[in-house]
Amino acid sequence: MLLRVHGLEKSFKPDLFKPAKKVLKGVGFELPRGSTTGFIGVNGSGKTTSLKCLLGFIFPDAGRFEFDEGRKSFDQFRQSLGYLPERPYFYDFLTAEEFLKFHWDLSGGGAGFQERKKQVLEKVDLATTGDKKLRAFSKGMLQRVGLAQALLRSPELLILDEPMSGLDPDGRWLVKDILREEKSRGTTLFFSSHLLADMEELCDRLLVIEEGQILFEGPQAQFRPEADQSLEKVFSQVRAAHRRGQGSAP
Amino acid sequence: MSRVWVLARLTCVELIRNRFVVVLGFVAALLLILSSFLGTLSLDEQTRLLVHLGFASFQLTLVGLALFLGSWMLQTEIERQTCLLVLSRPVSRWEFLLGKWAGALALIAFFWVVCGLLHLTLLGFQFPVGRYLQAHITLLLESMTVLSLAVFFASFLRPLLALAASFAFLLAGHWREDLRFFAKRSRSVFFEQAADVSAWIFPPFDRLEIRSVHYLSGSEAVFPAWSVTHLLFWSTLLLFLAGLVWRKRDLV
Repeated sequence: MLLRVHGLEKSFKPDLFKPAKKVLKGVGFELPRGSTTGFIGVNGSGKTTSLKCLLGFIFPDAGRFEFDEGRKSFDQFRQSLGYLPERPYFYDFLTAEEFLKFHWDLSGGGAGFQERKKQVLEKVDLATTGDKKLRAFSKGMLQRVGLAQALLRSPELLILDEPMSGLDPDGRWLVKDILREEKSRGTTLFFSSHLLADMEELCDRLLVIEEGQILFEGPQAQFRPEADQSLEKVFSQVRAAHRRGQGSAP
Repeated sequence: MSRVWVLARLTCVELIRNRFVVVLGFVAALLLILSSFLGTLSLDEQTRLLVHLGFASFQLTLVGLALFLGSWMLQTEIERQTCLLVLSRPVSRWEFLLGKWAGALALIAFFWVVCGLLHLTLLGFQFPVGRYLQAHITLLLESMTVLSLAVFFASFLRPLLALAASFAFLLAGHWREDLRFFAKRSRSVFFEQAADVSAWIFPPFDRLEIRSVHYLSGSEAVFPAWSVTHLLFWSTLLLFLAGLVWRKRDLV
């Protein structure tokens, strides 16, 4: 198992005089090596908070992580990680090449940057941007340069928060193609998306979160036993069942 | 350490390309030229005016730069979420903070060097360079301490509050002796003791005020080495405290 998350809890205080709101209520899941896991949930269900806890941006009130069966520390885990946030904002005045060099150096530097940069920029179809600054990039281009950054070090685990949001059909097709390629390379993929059709197409495992609780974790075939049922329909049914307090997984 | 260097370099380059910093540099140059012009209006005090107004304009620019950069730097990173990608790499929060701080300091130092060279040229190298450097270095030290102060406050306060708190410390640091003087006049033991304690708590910026013709001409005035050490200690301590807070801050 590449990653195990146990009992994550997190509360936020909107301000000093309001009571804390529990956003994560014992979130726990596993990411098997080489799997492609889709993280599904409506806005505010706790997807991004879970990812931020996992990446160390937010400190959970309770819970723990186990990286590579406890063989890796958090720092070692980050060495083999590629991440793309939900709204990728970058340092405006850099060019795509400078931006990639910055991330290359932060991850330890070393030889082979020129070759790898060329590969990833070609992969995301940005090989010809030249001296154009990131602030002049469109939303789709930023998303793609963010993806190039995530792929830069040939990561073992790729965590993507809404990788397809804001992309035009061509861009989405490109990203899906890259994800398929990474999957075939054996990279473990973990991503959240509202576009369930993409999840249906790409993921072999699903993780469903609602109000800070995991409602389902397992193979997609188990979540959606009848192949003719759309993922969206099953997801709505599961949520409705949860709201009625009648259980979780179908 | 190399990651701190990478972050510092990027911070500095980003800041140099920022329009606000360019404008500030322009203002500093303008103030200096203005002080040179004002000097020509006075008959015997040309040098004195150029020295005093020159140093005052540098102080305004460099300390202002330190205040604004220190107060907004971290919050901008959080608001724009640019720090998330950086921290998803094997970069510790300490390295991130140090890198940002060092990058901002490098920019201030760049301005400091340019201002110094320009000032010395306008003064026609009539004072010993060593003596000038001693006076000029106090500006860099003051800016560095103010930057650390602002970074410390910004690690747990909103930028405007951090700016206000740092500015208050800057003023209190300059008015330590005045506070003591007024406390003595009040004849209250409590106020006197409070002023004595505050003289230790606030950074001794007042001791650095050696930027005068009197000092530059090599009179018996001595370089305030003890106050410099005190301020270096202050900077280190503030940065360390900022790191402790930043290390545990949720980036939401």
